[in-house]
Amino acid sequence: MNAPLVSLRGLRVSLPNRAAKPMFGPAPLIEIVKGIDLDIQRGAALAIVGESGSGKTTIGRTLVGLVKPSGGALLYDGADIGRMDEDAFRPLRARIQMIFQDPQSSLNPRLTLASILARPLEAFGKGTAAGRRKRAGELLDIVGLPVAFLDRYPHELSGGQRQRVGIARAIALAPEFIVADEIVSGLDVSTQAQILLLLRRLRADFNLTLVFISHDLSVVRVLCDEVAVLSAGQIVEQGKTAAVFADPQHPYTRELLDSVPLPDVEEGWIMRGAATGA
Amino acid sequence: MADLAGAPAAPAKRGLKLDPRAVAGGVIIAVLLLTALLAPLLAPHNPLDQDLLATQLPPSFRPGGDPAYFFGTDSLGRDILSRLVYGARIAVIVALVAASLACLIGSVLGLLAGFYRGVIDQIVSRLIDVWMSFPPVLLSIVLAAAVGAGLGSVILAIVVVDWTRFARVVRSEVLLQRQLDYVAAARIVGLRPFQVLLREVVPNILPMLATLLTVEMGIAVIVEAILSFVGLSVSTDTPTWGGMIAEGRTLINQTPWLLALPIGCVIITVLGFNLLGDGLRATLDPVQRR
Amino acid sequence: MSGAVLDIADLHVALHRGRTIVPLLRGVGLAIQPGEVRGLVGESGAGKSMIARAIFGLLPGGARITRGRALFEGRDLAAMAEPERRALLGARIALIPQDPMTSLNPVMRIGEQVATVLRLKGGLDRRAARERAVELLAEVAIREPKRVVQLYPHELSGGMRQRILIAMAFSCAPRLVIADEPTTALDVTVQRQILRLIHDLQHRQGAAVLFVTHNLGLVAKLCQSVTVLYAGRVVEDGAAAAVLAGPRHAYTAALLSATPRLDRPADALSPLPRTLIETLLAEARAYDAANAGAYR
Repeated sequence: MNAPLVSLRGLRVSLPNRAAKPMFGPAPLIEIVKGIDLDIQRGAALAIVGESGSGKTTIGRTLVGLVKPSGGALLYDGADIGRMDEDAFRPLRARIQMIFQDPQSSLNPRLTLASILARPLEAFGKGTAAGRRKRAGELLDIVGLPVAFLDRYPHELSGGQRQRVGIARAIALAPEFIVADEIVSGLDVSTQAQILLLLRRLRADFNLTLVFISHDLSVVRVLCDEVAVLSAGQIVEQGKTAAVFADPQHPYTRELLDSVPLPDVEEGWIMRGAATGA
Repeated sequence: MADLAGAPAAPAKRGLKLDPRAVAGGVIIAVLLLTALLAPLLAPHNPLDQDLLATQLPPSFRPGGDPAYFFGTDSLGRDILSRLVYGARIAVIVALVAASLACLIGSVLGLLAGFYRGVIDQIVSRLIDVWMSFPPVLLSIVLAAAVGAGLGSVILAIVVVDWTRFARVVRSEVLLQRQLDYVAAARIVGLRPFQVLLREVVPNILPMLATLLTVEMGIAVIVEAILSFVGLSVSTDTPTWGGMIAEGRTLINQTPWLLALPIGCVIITVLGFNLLGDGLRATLDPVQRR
Repeated sequence: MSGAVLDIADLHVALHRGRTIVPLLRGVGLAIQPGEVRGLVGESGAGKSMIARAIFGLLPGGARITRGRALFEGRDLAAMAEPERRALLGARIALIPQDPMTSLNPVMRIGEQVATVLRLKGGLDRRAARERAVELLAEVAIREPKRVVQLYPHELSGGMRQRILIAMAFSCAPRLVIADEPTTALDVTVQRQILRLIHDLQHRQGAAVLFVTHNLGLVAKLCQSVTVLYAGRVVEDGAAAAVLAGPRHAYTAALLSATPRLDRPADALSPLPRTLIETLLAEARAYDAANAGAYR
């Protein structure tokens, strides 16, 4: 097997606990991610699933360099990006991108789609203003939005359309690695399916390595061939998605899977897990 | 493939829909600006010319008024209308210069403190705390008295006192904005922190800043009037509304219009700025603008 | 249709803004029998929350019922005087809201909030209400209810808050409970506990439930019957098992194929066909043209 693109070795992340902040002085740190080992191969699509408080979002933000690890190593293409400062990390920004959970707050409300989509190219000094605008139009086309949307503001779009813009921005620099954090959680069923299929198509077209963070196990299977189940900052189970879903080994994985309501009528499902329920 | 059909997107609304308050305030302020600019053309008399044969004349439409002096004359026989027109010049200069400088200094400090946090935030926040514990008008008076009378010291007094207004609001707004994911997204696509601040965050606080600035201009007009009233503004041979109020005060029983007219000017001007500010907030915000 | 707890027929709701009229509900009909749990399914904009709002008299500004009726135990909610309707709400008709974070008053202790409902709607005195509040929390499986009544909402998890809202909804033995997407903000394991709780209380009290959701899985697990909405119209209606196993309407079938399932490979997922959406919207427009009078 080739060297993995991303490698986590005993990764630990601590964040300030704002709830416990004293009146003066900094908030105490609380460990969210508690020692994680994970390899992500080039071209793989890995799902990180877990419930709220499991640390999945923090892992995602650490992978893209928004949060610094407090311990362990975060190797990207062999280099420890966890210890890089902003300047050293900057060239990598073009290769590592993120799609955010809430397209409402992740798109600047004061900018048109043209400006939002031109930003990545601008930041790396690519192209002329006219060229960037043309590229922004192409990006809209790639994610299935009309080019006429270039002069619209985010609030003039529907939720699904906004998430498409979020995806278009993430692929603007032709990255190799994308972290998608709960990107379909607020969407309708039909929109959700469209976004999942769009991302699946882009993954193939752009040869992306993908980390897909989700609390909803049903959506994971559409996109990801591997899954890591997270609980309280630690991975309790990982493997091929089909295998883990068919034959979960860890009791937590089993409970998580059984808790997802399939659209089949099933007497007694509600009562099941009453004993194990926290 | 596109989810256009299921949820029809809001049609793009182009062009600003002006708020009626913005229009009303804008008209008042435009009239004020024109008056100040064209004072030599508009004023029927030299505001300093004394006509000792026609002192304390009532407005021309009142019994005993003289058609040559529309708003009457003061105790030295100077034309009130001309003095009001020239007084607008000082009011406009102070409003524009003092408020803009206070806005500039306060916003820059607020932006840096809110965005970079750390030591600079500590310093700015403590400075604001200390500043806010002084009564503002008293501080202006003491400052102007210490520096000496004159237009420059009036502007200085207002800027030194009122930058905190901007710094405080801008800082808390930036703190709020930097939590939003669009700031994280801007970093991820490769913008440097300073670019994120300037090109992503600043556009989001501009509408609020525009409102704050116009309101501050109104405040500056009041503070200038107060400083003129206590004789700490420009020299007494330049007509100011505050100075006129001070002169009118002594003769309030004989010639009430001497007091009422400049006060009216101040009130209308401040009202104009406040209306404009309210209207701007509603007009500039693309999200509110539906 | 006598005997139904809720009997909605030919319900038209339209938004009037100046001279433009936007139809929101296009002749909706649905009935719930005592003790029945009915799912109300639709995507955003389908009108499912509009039905709930019409029942509660909480239609958004400019929107009103323009035709049809909504009978609760034989009395028309649409024609009812406001005080009469208010007396029913919270007592005979209760709501479990969508967002447990914002539906509790942040500056009031939990016990006080529960007791207020009991005093105003259940007619208990202050002291009895306080004691009953503790019992109610115990009934929704909250541990240490005596301690929890002293807490403020922000000191509780989302799941706990939703339990408290459910306790409040069932506190006065309602005949009809409207649950408006009560689990969207919750983790799946907590979701099942909340469903179990609604199922238990509903069963014990014999209350009817209108369960508003976009999740067909929840309908399958909780509801006996289901009404599927699109563009303010009922497209399918029937027993949950029958509708989910063999949908008669193309939209229901398409919604099922657009729902990702963890027990099926990725290729099984297909988005809603565009032609279907266009057909449905064209039908809705044709209906509006033929029934323009219903929205005035």
